[in-house]
Amino acid sequence: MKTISRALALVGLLALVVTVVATSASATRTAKHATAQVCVLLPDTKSSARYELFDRPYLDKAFKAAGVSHTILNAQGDAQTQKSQADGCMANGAKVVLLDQLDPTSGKAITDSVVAGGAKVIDYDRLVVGSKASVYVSFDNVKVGVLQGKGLVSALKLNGKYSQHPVIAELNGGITDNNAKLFKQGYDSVLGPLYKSGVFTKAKAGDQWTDWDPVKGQTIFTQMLTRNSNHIDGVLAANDGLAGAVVATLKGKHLNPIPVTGQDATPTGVQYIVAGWQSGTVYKSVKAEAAAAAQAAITLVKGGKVKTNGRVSGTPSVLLTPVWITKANYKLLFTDGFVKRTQVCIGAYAQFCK
Amino acid sequence: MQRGAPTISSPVTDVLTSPAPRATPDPDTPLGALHAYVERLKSGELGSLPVIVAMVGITVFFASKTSVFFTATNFNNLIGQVAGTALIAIGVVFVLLLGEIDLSVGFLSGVGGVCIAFFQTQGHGYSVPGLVAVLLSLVLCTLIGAFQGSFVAFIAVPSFVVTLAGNLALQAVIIRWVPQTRSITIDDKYVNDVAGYYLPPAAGWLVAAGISAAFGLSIAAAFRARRRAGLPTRNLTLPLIRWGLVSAVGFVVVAVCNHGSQHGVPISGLLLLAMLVLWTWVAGSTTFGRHVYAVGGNAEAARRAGINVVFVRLAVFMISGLMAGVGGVVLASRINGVSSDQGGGPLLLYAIAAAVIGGTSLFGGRGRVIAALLGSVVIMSISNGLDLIGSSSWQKYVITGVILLAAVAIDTFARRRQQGVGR
Repeated sequence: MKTISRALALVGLLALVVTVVATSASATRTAKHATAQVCVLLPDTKSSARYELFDRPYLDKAFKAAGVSHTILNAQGDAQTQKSQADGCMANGAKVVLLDQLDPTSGKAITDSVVAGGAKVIDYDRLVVGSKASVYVSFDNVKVGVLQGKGLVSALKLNGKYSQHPVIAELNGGITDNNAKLFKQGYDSVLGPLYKSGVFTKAKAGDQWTDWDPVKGQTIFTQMLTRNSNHIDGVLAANDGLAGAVVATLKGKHLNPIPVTGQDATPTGVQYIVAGWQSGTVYKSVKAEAAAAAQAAITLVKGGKVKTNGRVSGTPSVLLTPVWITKANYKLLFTDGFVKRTQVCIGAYAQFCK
Repeated sequence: MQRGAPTISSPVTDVLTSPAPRATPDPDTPLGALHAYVERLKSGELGSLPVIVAMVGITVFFASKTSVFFTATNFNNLIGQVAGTALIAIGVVFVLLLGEIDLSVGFLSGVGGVCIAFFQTQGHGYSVPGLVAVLLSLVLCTLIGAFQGSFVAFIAVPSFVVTLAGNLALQAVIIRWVPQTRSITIDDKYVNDVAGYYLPPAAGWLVAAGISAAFGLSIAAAFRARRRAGLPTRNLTLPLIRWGLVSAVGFVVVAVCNHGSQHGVPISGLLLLAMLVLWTWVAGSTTFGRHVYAVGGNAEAARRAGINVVFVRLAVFMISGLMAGVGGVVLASRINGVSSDQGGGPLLLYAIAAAVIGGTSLFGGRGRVIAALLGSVVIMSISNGLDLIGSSSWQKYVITGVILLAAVAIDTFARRRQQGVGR
């Protein structure tokens, strides 16, 4: 009796094993066709609102128009998440990955694993220096910095402080962001000689790298105001978020507006420009950047070669030209559709919009 | 009953004279085990059932949305995504078993990663081979765990406060330690292989066979030990079925991993398996493990029973630190380096949520180490699936939050049922 039951148990066991193996065999089928030929890996929402506000819808439209299947993901600032998303992209059969890196190390690791999987990488807006990326699509970021530097100089000339040895504060972007370094390179090329010749004075400051975080920027700028006895005549803020932090600090301390630069031409930034709290901002048509990146991706998917117009740190690049926006030409943003009139000319700011 | 004997009615005689209760099936037989399992479910001891139901639900949902979710390549990816979080969650399980919490495990794993990255970098006088750097990092993390645990064990500072302070301090350490370029690359092949290397298919089969053999041997050893001790040897059917299932699962996992585009079993998966086996054994089969459950169930009663509660508390936080360090190795290896935000992001919440979703009670005293794996699989498969279909991040967070809430609600409800049944 015991032997029979034991034999039955073993047979049952065998049957179980066979069934399990058989069902798992169906799980080993790999996807026959790519469910997304292009994958876009956006970095976060903290450093800039542009990724969800502009990049995502523009890229989405461009790929849909070309009939290329795609997935757009945002890593929310976490490198582990971006790596997982890249793995998912490869599992989905991506041929091209548009990578907007979070830091050089994870950027290189992700690029390497994507290239090893047989796909191509386009560095979108942020460059992973020395990686296996095929193309880098971005604005000429050094030119962006130059526009900011020149913009600050002309604003100081306009309000007469230029010849009075103005004290200048700088709020840089994120230290891991290669773009932030290129912007700094640009505005340093304008401001550096002016500091050296004594025309401008550098404000006393500690660490001026803000991680693109307006909250951090506000803390740093408040401390700079304290260290310089509220005597700061101009601020080179690397983007509109940081400029906003400066404006909020000035307003909070009941100080007068001073020349402040920005970048990204956000609705808030434009409002401050028309109201006189911000001197100007750099307009990088994300539409143009997304279109160029999408075009490059579609070309690579179809197996063609991308037309490049430069090289940044050894990577073939498609570099686009930025525009400096002030109160004189801000209406260009409306005609371009980048910012809506109803986003800017409302409430207290309506009176400034002529 | 003897004729003529006085009929005294009392609870004692009632028990003697009442008809024998209907025999429950012997729990050593398959049918009996099933019956006992159903009885446990009814009395509120749900075990891993809610998690498994959730897993099945998630798989069915995503398989219907994309053909890529239920494939070998994605399964292999999932193992890599689960490994880091699950390893940290193992430590969290131990802490939760005591009824405490460790809020520092996220950045502690980051410190571990940064420690490895720093020491394996060439050219600054402190460089060591990658594996030595890993050892250093594990020692460091265990010591940090001990330091935090000593406040809880010796001074009875609430663990919430101690580990929250630790969390802030460790984040500062990472920002300070990662130099101006704000990320350090790991070049050491062995460290990068932890998350990057996949066993050749043949080696994978050997491992599966080895696991099957080891499990079979352990069953045989237990059987022989009982025989030698003169105890009645139990029916072999159940252990054989268990052995068959374990072997089947082992071979199936290897088959699936080999079939994916990675062509092999990931090392991080094997590391996770080894840790799960080790700590399940510690929690379930050692005196220390029993002491942990005792202190978590009722610390005062444990103290009066002679258990060194102070040592148990200290040891558990050391385990938490150590496992955070092990998880940190895997996480650093995945991106071949560390950034100034290493150990940040959703990691802390995922590690704790994993332990809770897997079935560890927040109130202490109940839970199993395997909960770390089950909960991590639930959380990471949601993340994995949503990324495959291109959903927005907010959906990921909302769904994970809802499942976490459901897990705790079920756990609380089951606890009340158990108290009602007197377990």
